[in-house]
Amino acid sequence: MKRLIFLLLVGVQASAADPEYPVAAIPPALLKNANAVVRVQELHIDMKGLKDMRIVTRYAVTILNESGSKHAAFYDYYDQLREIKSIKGALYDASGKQIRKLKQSEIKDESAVSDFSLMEDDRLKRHDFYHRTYPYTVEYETEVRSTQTFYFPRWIPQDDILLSVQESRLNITVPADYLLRYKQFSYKGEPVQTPGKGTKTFSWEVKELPALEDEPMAAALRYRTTVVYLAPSDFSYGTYTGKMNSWDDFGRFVGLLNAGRDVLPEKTKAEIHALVDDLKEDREKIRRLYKYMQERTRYISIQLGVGGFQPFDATYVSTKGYGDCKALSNYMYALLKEAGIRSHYVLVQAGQGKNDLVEDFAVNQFNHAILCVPSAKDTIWLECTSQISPFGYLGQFTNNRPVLLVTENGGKLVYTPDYRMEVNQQNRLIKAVINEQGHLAGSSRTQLTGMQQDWYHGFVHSISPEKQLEILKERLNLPSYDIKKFHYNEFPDASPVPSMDELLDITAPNYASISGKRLFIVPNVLNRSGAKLDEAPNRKAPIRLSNPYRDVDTVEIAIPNGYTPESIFKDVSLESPFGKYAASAKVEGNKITYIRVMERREGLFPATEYAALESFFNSVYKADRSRIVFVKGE
Amino acid sequence: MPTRNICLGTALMLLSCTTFAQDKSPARFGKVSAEDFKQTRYDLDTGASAVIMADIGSTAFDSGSEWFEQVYKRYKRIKILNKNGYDLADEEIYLHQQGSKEESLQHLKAVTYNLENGKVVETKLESKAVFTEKLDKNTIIKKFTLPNVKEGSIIEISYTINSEFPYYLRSWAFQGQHPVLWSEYEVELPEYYEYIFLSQGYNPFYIKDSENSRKTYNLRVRSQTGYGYSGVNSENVSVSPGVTRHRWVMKDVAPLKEEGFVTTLRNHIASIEFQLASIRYPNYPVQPVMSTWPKFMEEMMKDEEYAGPLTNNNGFLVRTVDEVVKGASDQLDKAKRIYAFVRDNYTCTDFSAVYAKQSLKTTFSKKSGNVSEINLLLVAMLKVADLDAAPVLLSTRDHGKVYALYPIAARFNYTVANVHIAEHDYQMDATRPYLGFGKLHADCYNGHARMVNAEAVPLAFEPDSLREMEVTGVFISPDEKGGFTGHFQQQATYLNSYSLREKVRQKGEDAYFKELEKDFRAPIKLSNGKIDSLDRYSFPAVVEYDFKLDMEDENGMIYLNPMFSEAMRSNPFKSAVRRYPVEMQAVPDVNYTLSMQLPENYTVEDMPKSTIVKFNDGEGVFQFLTGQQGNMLQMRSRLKLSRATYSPEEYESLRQFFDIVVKKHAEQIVLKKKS
Repeated sequence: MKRLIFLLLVGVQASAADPEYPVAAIPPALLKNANAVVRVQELHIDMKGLKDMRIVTRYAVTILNESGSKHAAFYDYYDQLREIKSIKGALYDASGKQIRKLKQSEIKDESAVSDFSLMEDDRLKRHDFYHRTYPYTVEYETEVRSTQTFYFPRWIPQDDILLSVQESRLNITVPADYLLRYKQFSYKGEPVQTPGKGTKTFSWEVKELPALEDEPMAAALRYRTTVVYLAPSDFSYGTYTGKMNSWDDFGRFVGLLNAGRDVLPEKTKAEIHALVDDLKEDREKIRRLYKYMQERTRYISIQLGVGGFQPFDATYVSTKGYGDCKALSNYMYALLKEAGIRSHYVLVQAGQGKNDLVEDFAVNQFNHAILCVPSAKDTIWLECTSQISPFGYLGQFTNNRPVLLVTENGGKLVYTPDYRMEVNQQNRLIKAVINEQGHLAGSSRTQLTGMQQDWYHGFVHSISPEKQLEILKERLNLPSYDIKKFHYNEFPDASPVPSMDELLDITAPNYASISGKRLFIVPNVLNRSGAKLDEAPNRKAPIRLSNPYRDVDTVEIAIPNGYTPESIFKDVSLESPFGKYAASAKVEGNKITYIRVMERREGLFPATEYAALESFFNSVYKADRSRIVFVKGE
Repeated sequence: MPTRNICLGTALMLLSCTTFAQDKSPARFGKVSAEDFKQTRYDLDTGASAVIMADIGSTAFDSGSEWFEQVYKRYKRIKILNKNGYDLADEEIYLHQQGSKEESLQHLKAVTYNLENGKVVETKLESKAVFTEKLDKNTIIKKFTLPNVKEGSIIEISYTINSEFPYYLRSWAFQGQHPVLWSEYEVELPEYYEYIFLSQGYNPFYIKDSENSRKTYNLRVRSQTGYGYSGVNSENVSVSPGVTRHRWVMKDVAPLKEEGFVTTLRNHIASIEFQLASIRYPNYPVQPVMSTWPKFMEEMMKDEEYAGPLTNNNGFLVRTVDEVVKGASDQLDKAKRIYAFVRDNYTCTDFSAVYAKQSLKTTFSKKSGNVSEINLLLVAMLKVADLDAAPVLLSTRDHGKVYALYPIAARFNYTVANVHIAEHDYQMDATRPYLGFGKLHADCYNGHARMVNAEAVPLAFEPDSLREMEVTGVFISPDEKGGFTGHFQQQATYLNSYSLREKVRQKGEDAYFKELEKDFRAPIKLSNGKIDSLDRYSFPAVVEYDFKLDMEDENGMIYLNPMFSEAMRSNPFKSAVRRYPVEMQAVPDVNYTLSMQLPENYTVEDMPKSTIVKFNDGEGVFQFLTGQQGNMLQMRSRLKLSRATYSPEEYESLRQFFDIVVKKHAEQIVLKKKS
């Protein structure tokens, strides 16, 4: 789907006198951890009518160092429904004196077709002063006219970490009788309302926001800094009008965009009937039609005008054999309808870890579409853009999150399946032999289930075997190695989630290091945690952990005769709110048996838990690298 | 017809054979039979997601609306073997425009064929499904995707490009990312145009022949008419020059896979390209287009979009130059100051460009420009300061090689500056923010380069001549609490110093040292981190820090890997075979020493044995030496090569050599508590 979120720094008429931005005037607290300081930002939206929204943005940002220079570049998008009327800009030195102004000829106009699209009508205007003497300040002012009121700009004064804000304001003026909807996060108080002539204005303001730090596993920005979402009640979008007071309204509008686009060619209809009419079970019909769709289509994104939200119709997909998430979901909907099966088009905020849609405020937060086939006991979810997805399974891209279901009677928020820790397993058994030279040879057999098989599933289906081998070698992270054989068995219909088996035959020369009469072996061959966290006594952001999993590793290694253990690490057992970990090794004769169990939970944890998180992760990191030392008997 | 075929270097193999058996591809547009779908696996590349069944192109001269035009025809037949090959159904055709001249796309046809119930079913591309994207002022992209593509589909694409740029003859790549069963290119050249042919790669031609004939062109030619200059008229002229048709065919070309240590695959894939050498119209003297280096440079020196403006007095620079060089002690100091000024105040927006798109004055005031614009500004400022400066043209590693023999403009993509002071030449590049005076970026070490002056002085920036030395020292001694403290010092190579500076600037020193602490490979607490020469860009950076080593005593034993963060942990040469040369950035010389004072109550139980391994009869050496004197433990590792480039035949021994390094670097020192 199209970029649905408009640019954030979008603002207000400049005052008469040229402003000055001396760096000396920045409060010291705002310099801490900051690479850049927003001196002033004003976002002024004037909604004159459903088809006429004026957006004036003015901002000045002081760039303190090279890392902050990304905030100096200006860019803004435009398309059929959004026109950039003017761009002004100026550059100021550290003392706040203006060095020069933007020349219109310096603005670059570029195509903004995204990587995943064949065609889009989006274009981009871009400018940069390319100043290199720090600190300096850039100021931009733009006027935009939008002929749609389906999406409004969002106000995120602090849209990045390591960026502080001196002052930022949002003003929105709407007709007096218009119901403006808004939702604010991390904002104290309510907006100031000012009546005007036939209008009313809502104003928000923040001052002196210190820079946010770079904190690992941080929760979404709205938990950390001020964000205001604006949304329409009545709106216009292309030739359509609609309402957005609730998710019900939103869904109704999407239903309107999709209306009548489910007509299939007669030939396709006949094929569907030939395919499913003899089947009794609905589930089998759905499975067969999903396979039919997967075999006949592929993902091609073409986004023009309202096409950012409206699917190409089912006949189009049927004759061309391609479409984007909207078109393919709508096509699948039409196939099922022809077979007499009711389904629902679903809008999603997709992306790994993006499972915290704002639920109590109807506003566009979506970037993807899927399909839902409801059933009292066994609702089926279909990802229609993938030719390889197992039937009825949603991976990390769309699972466990609120989504908008579009029904005949409007929209409603429902939840996609939550794949809990217990179903995301990786159970591995390694049997290996280490010889006198320290070379390891062995086999690994791994069962992968649920989200743990997502990566491997994509890997097996989208990459050539030669490249697979290369990637597997990269992933093994052993000093020198060879994969003699690798093989995957797929169980797409396993219950409750798909699973895969991985079989590897590996040799790792010099896996054990031999120094004189000693042999050093790290028994954890293939599953060492890579996450090492820094201390952060002043952690501020809440902690977000997603994608819970459970790993069980059993490793049996035979070592050459004549060695006796000199040092074996002690058993490790850790427990924390974030999960559990246990690792132990024992040596019997010339055989090492190592067992490791890791359970990682998910959740939103307060920042105060960070020390515990650090301790847990770092202890695991260390324990995963524990080794056993053997010494050769004389 | 005087066409010269040139064999370039040892990397080129031009095998020619004339054969009468099957000298045409069996593929014809629209002639797809059920039989064609049968084969789904090709031994040429068993993992291929698609196979190019035929890729046939031709370029011919034709009568245009004004003078000659070029007609380029392309026909491709592709079989999609699996879903990963769907990308090949998306096609982009780039068209060039300049002023009133353009390339236009004609006769576009594209069809998908599927085998349904034993019958071939075709679906045609609709003309309205072809999109036009205007990329920039000079480039238009025609984009489309074929309908109804499934696993096993065969697709065909055919089109013609009419070009009003008759001198630019399209090159041809016989090799790509997918196996090609039949790749053929044909060019038909009237005798007026003499091109040199440059071919490269490791695959033989299946057919390589040429054929002479005569052809009549009806040209419209502009002419001055009437009295004085009353206007420009066109007249029709009919000419019948001799034409030569050249044809090259390769069969069964497996793809070349990208691996590490390569300048660019473009230097290695089987391809042929062309360069106009001269124009010979009847009754006119021969106009050499590409003749000698001095001629080429003379033109570049006059070119208003290149060095032309350097001959102006450029008065607008005087005030700034005067300020910058004020108080300079000598010429060298002047040059250094001007260089630093441009480097520190200008931003490069395009690192691959030869021609200036804006005036020198605009570059000066806008403070940004492409690599040539900025380094030409540097030259201009040096000249204003009365220094003997000139631009140097080169090609970066990823852009491909420059032929020392042929002055071909398109082979260059980069400009640096040269200043001649007291019998010395210094090269400078003001576009890279952390380079020092007289230094070039690693990307520029790509062989042949030329100075833009009357003599067209040849220069060689050979990676083989670029020694890159790294020196690391680690000192460890026991502390009073039964642990160890240590000191780490590393003088980075010059190339690594550049990336180090870049990283530190972007992330900050704290984050940089935090990363070092994590990557030390033994649990340490790092302190007093400092980077010497961080801002003295002409010198290698020196990283230093103290650390507290937290080695666990395991039952009276301490085990440690003496290489710590500096161990080579895996062999950089991963593939079992190599089909093209190994091209390193520079000649490595990596030195590491450890001095460790033993704790009173410990003895050395074991330590790695000293080893010296030679590569290729002493062309490279790996020394790993250990020793103990009293309570001091000494260890030294040195990996030194003498070349940066290695042939595919040397690959196996190079790989084995590095295997030994990896193995030795993994060995441990064992300390035992005295009982």
